[in-house]
Amino acid sequence: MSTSPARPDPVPPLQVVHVPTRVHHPPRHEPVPAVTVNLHRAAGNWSRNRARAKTQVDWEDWRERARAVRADAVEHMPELLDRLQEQVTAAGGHVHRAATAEEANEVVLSVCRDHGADSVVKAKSMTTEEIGLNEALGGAGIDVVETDLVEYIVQALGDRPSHILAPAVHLSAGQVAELFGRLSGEPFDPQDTERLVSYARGVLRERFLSAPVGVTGVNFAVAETGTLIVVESEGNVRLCSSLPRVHVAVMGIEKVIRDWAGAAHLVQMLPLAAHGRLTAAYTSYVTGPARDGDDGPGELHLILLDDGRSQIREGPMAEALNCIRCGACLYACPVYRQVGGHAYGTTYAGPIGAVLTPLLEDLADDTGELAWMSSLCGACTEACPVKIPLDEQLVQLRAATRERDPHRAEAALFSGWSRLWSRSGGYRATAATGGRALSPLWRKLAGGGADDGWSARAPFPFSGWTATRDARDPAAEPFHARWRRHRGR
Amino acid sequence: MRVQLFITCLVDLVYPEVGERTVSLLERLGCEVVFPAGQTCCGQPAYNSGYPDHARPVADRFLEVFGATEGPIVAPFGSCVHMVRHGFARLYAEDPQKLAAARALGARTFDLPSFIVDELGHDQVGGRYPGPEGTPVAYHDECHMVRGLGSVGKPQGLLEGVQGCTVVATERGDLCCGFGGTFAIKLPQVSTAMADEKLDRALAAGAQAIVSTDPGCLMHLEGRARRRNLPLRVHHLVDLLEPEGAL
Amino acid sequence: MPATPRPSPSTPAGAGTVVDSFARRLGEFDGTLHEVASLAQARARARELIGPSTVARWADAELDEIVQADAPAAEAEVSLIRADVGVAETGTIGFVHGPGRSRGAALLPTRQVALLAREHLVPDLATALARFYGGGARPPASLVFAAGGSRTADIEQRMIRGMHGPRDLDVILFGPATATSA
Repeated sequence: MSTSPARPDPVPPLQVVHVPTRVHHPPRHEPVPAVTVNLHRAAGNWSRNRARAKTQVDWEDWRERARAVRADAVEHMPELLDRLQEQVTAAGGHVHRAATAEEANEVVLSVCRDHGADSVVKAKSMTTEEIGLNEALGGAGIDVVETDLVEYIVQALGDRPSHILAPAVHLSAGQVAELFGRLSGEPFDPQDTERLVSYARGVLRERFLSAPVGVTGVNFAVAETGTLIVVESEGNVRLCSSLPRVHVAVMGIEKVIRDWAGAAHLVQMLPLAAHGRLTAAYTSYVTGPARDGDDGPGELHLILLDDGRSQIREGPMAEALNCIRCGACLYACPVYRQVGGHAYGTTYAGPIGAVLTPLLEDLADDTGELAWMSSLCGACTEACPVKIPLDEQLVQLRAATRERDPHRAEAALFSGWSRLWSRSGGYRATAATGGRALSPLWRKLAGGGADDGWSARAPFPFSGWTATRDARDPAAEPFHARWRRHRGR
Repeated sequence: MRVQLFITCLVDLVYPEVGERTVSLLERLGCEVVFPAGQTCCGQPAYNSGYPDHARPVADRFLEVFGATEGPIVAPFGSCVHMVRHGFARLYAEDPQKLAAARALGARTFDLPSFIVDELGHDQVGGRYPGPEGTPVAYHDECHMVRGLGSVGKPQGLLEGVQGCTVVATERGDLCCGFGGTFAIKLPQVSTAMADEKLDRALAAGAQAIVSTDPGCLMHLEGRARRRNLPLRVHHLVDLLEPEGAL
Repeated sequence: MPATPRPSPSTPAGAGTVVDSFARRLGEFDGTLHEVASLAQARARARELIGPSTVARWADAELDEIVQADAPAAEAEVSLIRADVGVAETGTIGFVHGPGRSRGAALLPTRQVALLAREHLVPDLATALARFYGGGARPPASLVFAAGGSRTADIEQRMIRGMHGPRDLDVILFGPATATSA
């Protein structure tokens, strides 16, 4: 283990890992130095942006309002979804209810088939990652073009995104220049950002203008008027939802909100929580397909994806559905900043990912183990603009995971501990053993060394500690014994 | 004022001198300190590990021992106070009687700095750095104290009143040190990387010592500093507020 | 149905008028505000800003007498549009697509010049949205709010501008002040 934070290479080696989505990998628990410097920079920026956000509004008041809007929507979700469907249909759109990822993918496939589309342009959407849309379309011979600059790069590299909002936090300019060089046959200077952008813009522009179908996600859907809201910085969501003949919007059902009072608030809270600003570069409000001489898509398909959300809503952790996907909890998390998003092995990373993934999967596939990727520091709960009690939910998930899949030895340990420490007699006996009898034994096991109260080796189950840290010895005489000696009972 | 001392198992068993200094300080500030001898632990280790059913009997003991007392309960460790104020509400969610008892106890359980500042009304209580004059020290906030106990700034205020050291500000002081209880053993590499960042930032700010109120953080940071042979001493705040404190 | 909370409008940063606030926020996203008294002056300013560049324009009458020829959206260097609303607290302009207001013309060129009547500048987003989604009128199929230029900050957190939308936005605010916009 290095003794100081590694200084990364200016151009770290390319890490190309082609991973199909919808497959969960066991979380990796090592810091990744090549990623760390970018993560630290991004998290530092976010932290400054959050400080700025708090100077612009009454932050706690805004949080409570945002929570209330989301909680109302989650509580009344079935009724609001019905209303949304009515309104979108009345506006001329098609609404499809998809209970599962497979059903959602089937809708997109059938829309493509109906229009003879052999390619789609796509804007970044975690929901489409969740359902494995790219693989489903690819499997049917349909070319999927990711249009966010970095999604495009990530796709070209075959890598997986690392963060809800900023997937290439782990990529460097050197890697991008090398990639574009390979694709175009011409050399690219990593410092010449303008030229890198210009190349990507040219490639993607051509695809926008020729693809028959555009696929996007949805940030919020306003039931009151059937309006889909998309918030973005780059402009490619606008392009995907404006230039192709058909617009397919894929939305998790929890994203519905009741009305415009709530929408006006959330549409400002999202960029505020993510970037410290009251607006993103572009916010699009789509109500039905284009009509009457508007040259936009003549057909709109909205896919309402359940995929486990209704089940979460009925359980004790429904507040997790409040999430507006701002990414703040990731930037705030001290674990995420060391390991990055790939380490979680799932579509949704960071604290919200550690909560949502096991809930969506109903704890299958060892997804419950994600709940231990946390020191329970509470920074995520503090950062969340809709007040999801993430740290509490992580503890609840730990309990649910252990109940479902008991770790017998660990359970026995805590059971014994509980029996002893629920009584003063048991507690004192442990102290006496640890202090008086075990201390010399402890010393011996630790290989001797200076008797300064610290050991370089500790026995199981604490040996994980002493691989990298000295361990403090239990005191020879605990406080309660000292009190009795000096002060009587 | 009579106060009940909630020693916490970690202080009791591993940092008893912190307990002694806490008593001595409270007495210097005019309190009569009572130590309910039957106390054990708040149950947090089991609760945080996903064993609420094993945590509950231990928490029951806390309710029993401290429920029989009156007046403020003071602990030299914020995380345990956090467990009493917040964790107990979850543990006893299905038991209205115990929930009420837990709420009542939580309302009069305090971490030491908050108690000194809010209840006794002292922003500073003097003290002296137990080491070379003028040592630059960095303060490390206990996560559960700043998030959940509303104690932001209070320990730092008390530290300002200590003679013989200067306080240096570190960047990203809000970041967790990586102890997190069993986290330190389950994810040791990440935990250690977090400690390293904390220690490196302290050194970068010119600190020669780190002060905190969390014995878990102290064990973790000092354990790592020792392994790396770093020129950093690690203290509990009360070591500076009441360096000569003894029973 | 349960009452939903009304959002509290944020306070525009710093003191000053709604126009000051609009200019400041627009500037935060690298947009530029030009204030002129009349439509004629707005057209003149637009001509200056466009220079010899090719233009894709909307059909709105306000945009007449600015350029001679119209280029296809995919080839034009400048997008010339009229905004339906401006929001001071966010520094954004809002516009609706429709006949004579093509999507491509607002999206594809690298620079954008937008005319905005002073009477259409409002203090906050909730007020702006209420113009399109209140009172029973049919909601527009597409309403867009744009702040300054397109930006991506992804590669080593460098700010990249103009990836998929105009990188530069010039807003020309014209017309007499009213009680709401002064």
